[in-house]
Amino acid sequence: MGDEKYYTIQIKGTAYRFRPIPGDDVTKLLVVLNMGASATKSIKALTKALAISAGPEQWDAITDRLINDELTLTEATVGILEKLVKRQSKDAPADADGE
Amino acid sequence: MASDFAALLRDPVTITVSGVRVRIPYRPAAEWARALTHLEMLAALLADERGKETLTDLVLEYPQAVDELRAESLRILGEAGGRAWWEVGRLLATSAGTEILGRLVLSGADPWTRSVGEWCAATYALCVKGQDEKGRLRFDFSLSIPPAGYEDEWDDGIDDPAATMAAVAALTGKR
Repeated sequence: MGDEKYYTIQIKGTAYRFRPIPGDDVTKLLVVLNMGASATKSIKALTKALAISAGPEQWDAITDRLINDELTLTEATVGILEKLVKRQSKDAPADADGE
Repeated sequence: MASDFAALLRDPVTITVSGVRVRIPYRPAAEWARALTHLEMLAALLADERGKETLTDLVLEYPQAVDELRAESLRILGEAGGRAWWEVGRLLATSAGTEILGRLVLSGADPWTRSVGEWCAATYALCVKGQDEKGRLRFDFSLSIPPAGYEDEWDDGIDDPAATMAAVAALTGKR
């Protein structure tokens, strides 16, 4: 990964690395989630952004846990976005946590 | 402002985002007040299901759509209230305060049956009731000051410098 910035987020006992979601995309997602539009469209847009941020292997692992009922849909989508946005807004890369 | 009678109207309003026109149905004042929590997407919160779907697609597809939605939200807030958008926002916020809301309700006004323009007019009337000219000018002035970042939108309707000075003098009590 080199100098690439990422954030480590714990999801029910497992740590995953997420690349930052571009600021404009975060704004779009927050608007769509808050405007009370179709849940399907919101989730689709959100999972697309999170899949890119997590990378295919990690996203597969997260979706497997969702399918196995280890995670709820909210935990696997909005929950991750909230944590990621919080971390991004503080601009605290995972290395700062000593990982 | 679309019309001097905008505050009396109960017509739908139309916004344009990324070149697409979306019709926002008439909503009572209470719905506008509730939507103020997300001012930047107020129009989307007031839209019907079809409008929300359209706006969702536009926001996801076009980079400029978020900014346009925000600008249109502010525009229709002012249009529906018949005042600058920040004045309408302040009057709506004021109307939710315990004392003001209590007085409005006791007078028979109901935010679920009044338009945002009517509700703001009632709130304004209550706020200036019993005030002398100076108190009224002060209230008008505090209401009219735009929020930070929107100073360029301030139009006090006075083009005559002498009239402006007279208004300032009246406010400061130096006349």
